[in-house]
Amino acid sequence: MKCSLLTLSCALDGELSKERQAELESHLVTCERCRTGMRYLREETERISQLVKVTVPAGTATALLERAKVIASVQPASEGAVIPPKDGPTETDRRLVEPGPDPFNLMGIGSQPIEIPEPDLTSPARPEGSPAEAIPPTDAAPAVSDLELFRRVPELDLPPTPSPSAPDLAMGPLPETPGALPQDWLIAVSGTPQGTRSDTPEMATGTSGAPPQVRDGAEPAAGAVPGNDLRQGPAEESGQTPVFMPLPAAFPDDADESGPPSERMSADGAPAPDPAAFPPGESNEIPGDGWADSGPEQSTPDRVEMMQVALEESAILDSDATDSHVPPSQPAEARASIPPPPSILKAQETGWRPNADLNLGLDDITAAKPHLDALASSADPDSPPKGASFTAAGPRPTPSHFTPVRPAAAAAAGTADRAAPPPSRRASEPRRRGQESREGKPPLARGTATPRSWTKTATIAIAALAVFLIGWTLTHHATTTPTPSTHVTSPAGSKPTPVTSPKAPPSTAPAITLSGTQSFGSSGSGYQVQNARYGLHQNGTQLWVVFQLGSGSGPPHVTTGFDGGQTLYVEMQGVAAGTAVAQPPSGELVTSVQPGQVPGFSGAVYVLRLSRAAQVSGYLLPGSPTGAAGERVVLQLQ
Amino acid sequence: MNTVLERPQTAASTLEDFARQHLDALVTYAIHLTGTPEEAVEYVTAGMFYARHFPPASLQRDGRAILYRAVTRAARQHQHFPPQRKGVARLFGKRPPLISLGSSAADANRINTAKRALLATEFSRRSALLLRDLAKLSYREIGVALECSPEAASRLVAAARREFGSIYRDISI
Repeated sequence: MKCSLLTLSCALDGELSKERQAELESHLVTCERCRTGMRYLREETERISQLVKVTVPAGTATALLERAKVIASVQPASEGAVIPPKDGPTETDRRLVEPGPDPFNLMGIGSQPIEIPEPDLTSPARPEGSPAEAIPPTDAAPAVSDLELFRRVPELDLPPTPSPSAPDLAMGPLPETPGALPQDWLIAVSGTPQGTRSDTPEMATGTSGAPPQVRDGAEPAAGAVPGNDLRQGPAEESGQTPVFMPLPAAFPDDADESGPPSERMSADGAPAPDPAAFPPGESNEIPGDGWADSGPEQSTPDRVEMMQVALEESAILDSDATDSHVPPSQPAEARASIPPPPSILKAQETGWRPNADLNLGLDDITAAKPHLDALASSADPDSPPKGASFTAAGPRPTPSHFTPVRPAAAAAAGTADRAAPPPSRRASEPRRRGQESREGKPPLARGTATPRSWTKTATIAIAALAVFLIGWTLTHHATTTPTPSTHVTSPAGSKPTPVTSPKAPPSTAPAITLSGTQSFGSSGSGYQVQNARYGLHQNGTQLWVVFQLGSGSGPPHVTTGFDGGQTLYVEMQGVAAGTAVAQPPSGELVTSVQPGQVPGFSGAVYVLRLSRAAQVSGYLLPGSPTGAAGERVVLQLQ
Repeated sequence: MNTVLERPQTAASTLEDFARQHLDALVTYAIHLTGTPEEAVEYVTAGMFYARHFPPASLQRDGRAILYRAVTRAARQHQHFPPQRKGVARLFGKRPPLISLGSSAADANRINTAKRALLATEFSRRSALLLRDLAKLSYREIGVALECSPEAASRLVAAARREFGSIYRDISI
């Protein structure tokens, strides 16, 4: 039989067959090498098996399995599941199980309860053949992100509409008569159609391209483009079937629209301008903006601002349609002949309150836009001419499409202003082309984050980085000693910076200046040096000096440093010096080890005389070779 | 349309039984495998989470070995549960440990020569050594846990013992 460590290991584990086991036993009788190897394997097996076993408390085990979803959670994580210790409750055992990520907080919305008006599922407006039982009741509520998005859309400067119920959602009350749902409610619930609710972000942001949900079982209209509900005319005005679809994060490109242009409807119910009539490169895409499409991962405020920009762009395109550069697809008279919504008429009568909360549906906004354009063109005396510059002290230019209607008194005072010609396309052209900006900022392409958000993010990141660097620098420069490590070496060849021992207080005796100091351990105490041992390692290139300490509490703090090139000081805080320690054998790197003194130092100090300059690294080992309690201060010199 | 059925409840109950029965040994194994109780808990949790995907038949066939396989896989691939933060964010706001194991974990984490030598060995050998000498798994079970054959497991154990002994004798004085 050949000597094999594998065979010995298998024999130790009892995995050999009886024949092989008998053969090995007979071999071990004659082979000293295999006997030694077998003894070593047994020792190592015992060392591993003597490692400390861990007992997991029952409460911790339950919490762990709950987190791993092996068992159902008994206590909601959001309430903070305290782990009850089974035995020996400590403070660390009472730490809370961290609750799972709150999607509300992730979206920056908050977790305040939102009241959602419950639609009447049994109303005759619902399509036949789709009973209420077929609709999952649990997912019927609109996504909070959609509602928040819709709620924040009315940051546009438009007059408010009273909404007695559900004021946080900007949704009007449910109508008394089924089937006569207000448009704002329709749009509000269109973000999460009944029975088709999806929690996926694509559905929530309306970028999944899912077909719109059509009520009354009717086919989508020819102009009903998925995700383009803002371009969809009001159902009541256009006479088409109301279409419900996810609220889009941004308008899709006009190239995505299908159907002839004459069948597409603009915001006011009139045919939309034909994108084909635009010259190449002057479609809805704003050239030269330099902002890439960041997709659907934008935050809710970005999406809100994006919608505002999209509304502006839509208004710009509509104004372009009346310009000589682009053939108009709709006469201005036809647009002006459409009666404005009651809210706009009310705004004209009572005056305009800028920055007021708006409780309007998107259809109201889009339907009111041409009238706002007309009002803005007649009431905006501050429309700058082309090339005009604005000073910081002066009023900032307001987008003409959202210029608030001034009160009647102010409008009467500005009769001359009202007589001024409406802003020409020349004034708005640079904005459309990306040369000028909305409030001095570059215009954005659809689906992009605003530069303000990017600037904020970059500023926060730079500030955080600066704070981190400053803290890191202060932390690492504040300590003169390196981090306690078991193998930190100090290059003896390089010229170390002289460091005065931190343990030496002012004294009449001359202070010892140590260089290349190292520290390890912590604030242990109660030790006493029992002996010192010496050994050669790494093929005789390293001399290890081990100070065996008696029993104490905690690892002691040890500092080593050179006084000159060949004198090594070893300071052990909380350690009493022994009477004498064994001296190293002659001819080694360390010639003598003597107890020394450092003024003001209370612990044990040993002075090691070296025969030559050397590098030293040290660490602590608990215990002793005999198994007794204590600590070992190990110094590796080479 | 792809239809994914919910896993039968019997599988979860079996896994729960196995997990509760061997959780102490699993955590002990993970602590000595990784060297830190916090990471060990996260790896054990990740392993349990991953073990939910094992079919009931494999649980019945392989028993505890499949749990060790899941934990070893999580530790080898550094799959924390919950996942760690990525990028610069991991430098800010260190998460507190989700689950504390108490004083026994601190005792297990106390460094000594054997543990220093153990942590100095290569991962697969360390895991094989722990599975054999600490968890007392057979070669077949070690093969299941380390996703290798029993013969390869025996060679891993023998090589791990040799490496561990060499390092231990080198650093002990």
